[in-house]
Amino acid sequence: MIALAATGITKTYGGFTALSDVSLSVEHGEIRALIGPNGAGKSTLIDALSGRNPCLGRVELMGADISRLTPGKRRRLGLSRSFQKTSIFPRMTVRAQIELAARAVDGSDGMDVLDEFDLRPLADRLAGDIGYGDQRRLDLALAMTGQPHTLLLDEPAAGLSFEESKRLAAHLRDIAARRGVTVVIVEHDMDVVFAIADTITVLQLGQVLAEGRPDDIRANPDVVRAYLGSAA
Amino acid sequence: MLIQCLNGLVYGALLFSLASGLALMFGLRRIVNFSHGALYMLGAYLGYSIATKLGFWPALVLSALALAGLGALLDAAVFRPLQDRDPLIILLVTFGLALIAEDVVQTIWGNDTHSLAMPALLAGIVELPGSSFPVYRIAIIAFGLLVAGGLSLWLKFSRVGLFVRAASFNPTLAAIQGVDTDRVSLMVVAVGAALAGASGVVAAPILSLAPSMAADILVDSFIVVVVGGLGSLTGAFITALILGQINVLGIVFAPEFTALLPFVIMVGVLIWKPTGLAGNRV
Repeated sequence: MIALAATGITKTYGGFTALSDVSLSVEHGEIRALIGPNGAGKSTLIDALSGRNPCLGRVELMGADISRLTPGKRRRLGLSRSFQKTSIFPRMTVRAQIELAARAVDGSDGMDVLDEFDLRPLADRLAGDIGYGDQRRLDLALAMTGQPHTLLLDEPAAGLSFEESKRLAAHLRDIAARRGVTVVIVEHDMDVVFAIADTITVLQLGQVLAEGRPDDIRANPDVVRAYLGSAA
Repeated sequence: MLIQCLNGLVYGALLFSLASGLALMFGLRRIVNFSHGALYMLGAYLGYSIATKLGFWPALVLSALALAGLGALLDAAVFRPLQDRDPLIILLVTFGLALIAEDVVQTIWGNDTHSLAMPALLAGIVELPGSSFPVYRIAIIAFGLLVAGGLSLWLKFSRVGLFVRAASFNPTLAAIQGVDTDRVSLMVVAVGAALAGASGVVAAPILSLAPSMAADILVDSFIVVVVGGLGSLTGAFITALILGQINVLGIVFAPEFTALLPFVIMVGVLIWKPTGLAGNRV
């Protein structure tokens, strides 16, 4: 079953085309990585899918057209996202933030999420005062609050140490497998990408350059030339 | 002196109950609502008409409810459609609405001043050392405290209050986390308008009703919101109390500077701390 589908997504800023007729189809339970050089349009595509940034084209969630829905409505339908910079309220406690997302989405208090992401020891601290790695964990916990079935993650490993990135990759793999969550992840850390992705879409200059399984992408000469270089 | 301080508190309480709605609306919608004084005026006039038939207390409740409905309409028909436009457009539209409201009041109630009788329950006098003070004025102070306490509890402990605090800090982020910001904004504008209407009714027995009453208090309300910190209730509360004292004590001790002093304080605070006394805390 297709969990998330985008057709003909186009976004222009004045004379600059950030995305040009991009289409994407993600199976339920799949982890899809979006990779590409800076400016390729990865975050713009995440913004388009989450409804943060209006664009041309059609977005379907579990077969339903959500193209005209607000980000909040998409969130309540089960499409959740995180940001490149953490999407936290620095002057709210960790507990209040989880509660905010939980109350808004399904009316629960979200305390199960505190435990699942091991955030209970930090529950009464202001989110702005906890460490960066903890903030990223809170960010992921916020995105997972309310049992979303589809998760859009924009560089969740940005700024994390090698060890933290490894833990994050394992955690994401575990969440996707255990809860059957569909994940679309934008990430520059290729260790994380190749560790968790079922399929990879490569964007370049606002267009899809290649799409396929990690091994195929690693071996694709166009992708190696445009983005991966010798790192792959 | 004690009487002057109490009168300062009365004006401060009235200012806060009006400005709190303005602060909440700015926090949620990031709008400068020039029609807020008109909501206060409409509340007072509606209260006046209802009170002549049903008495003060039904006038207070019905006027607040009517203004809540008008606030919801204002949000749905004006603020929401214009939310992504240049802030100057909303400023001009709300200014236009204020002028229309003034014309409507002049057409229905005329240019003469009116007065609303205070409720018999609060018509007495309290004896203070060396002087006396009307019970109704003490009730206005209590009304201001009730509004402050009620809003504070609502924001701190209710589900909607949690949404309001989040959306005031960052509406986009709140929406991404699932908060229906349009619905929350509608509720907040309705509450703000209801408070403006109720403030108008509460003020009516001590101030005369005239079409110019909107403009008279609107400027002070804006000073309260700006000095307090745009969108901040705590800041608005502190500033309203200070401004109330300046207004009344200024008349006694430095009448020639009374009108000027609030603006001097506003400029000083904006230079010293551009985000206002309380920053952007709700």
